[in-house]
Amino acid sequence: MISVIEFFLTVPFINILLKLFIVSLSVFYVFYSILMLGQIGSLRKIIITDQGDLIQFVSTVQLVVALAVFVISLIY
Amino acid sequence: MTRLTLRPDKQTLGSFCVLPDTRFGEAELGERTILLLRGHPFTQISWVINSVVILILVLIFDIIWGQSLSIRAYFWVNALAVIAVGAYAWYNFLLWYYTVGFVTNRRVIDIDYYGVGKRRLIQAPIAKVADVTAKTSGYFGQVFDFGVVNVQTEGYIQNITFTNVPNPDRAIAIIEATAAGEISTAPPTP
Repeated sequence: MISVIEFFLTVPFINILLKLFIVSLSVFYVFYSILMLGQIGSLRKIIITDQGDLIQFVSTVQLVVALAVFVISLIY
Repeated sequence: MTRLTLRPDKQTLGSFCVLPDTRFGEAELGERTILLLRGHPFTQISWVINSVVILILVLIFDIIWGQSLSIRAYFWVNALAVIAVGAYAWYNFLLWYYTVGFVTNRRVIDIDYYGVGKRRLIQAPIAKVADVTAKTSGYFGQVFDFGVVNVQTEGYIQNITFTNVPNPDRAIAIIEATAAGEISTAPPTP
């Protein structure tokens, strides 16, 4: 099965399609992370909790990862 | 009616908190949170199991077919799987964490967070609480003691429902005592 996948990966057209798929997925992930970060910012004003900073930090890390994946998807 | 004495207490992984530090952002002056309710952790088990199973499947995939993949394909399969599972788990955690019910000395507030771009906030004055009922149903509801608490209000004010909250009977007692002004607080037990 894997050799079939590897064979397809060598076909230029499929390779380009796969790359486009990964880039668009990473773009979606970046937008999703920004949206989540914004949502948490507004939710933190409604529900004031000790863990608010931690949650915002994790969501910021998620955004950083999303941006890193986007950059890697463009160059790798 | 006897006064109900409450101590700060956090139970069931923060889903049933008496006199918590967490508070409603638009609290009035002198308003204090008496009770904070979230869904029982057991009701979140499905997305935890899903996440773990997907990670195990990725691990199995790596063990069986990992060596026959190119480094690039190996990287993307693993990176996308881990990111997808991480985003899925984090999203579901936030849904649970930010779907809360507050009972304060002034109001009963229900905040439902449905996900990206959608949330609902219902509140009713504590003085307008007419009746509080609870329903525990199902096998797991009986075993882990969680259920639905329905706060019925007078007049045209919308009723408030807290779903899958732990200790429904104790929640009723606290809401009723708060509505009757029969709550007194004590320092936390050492």
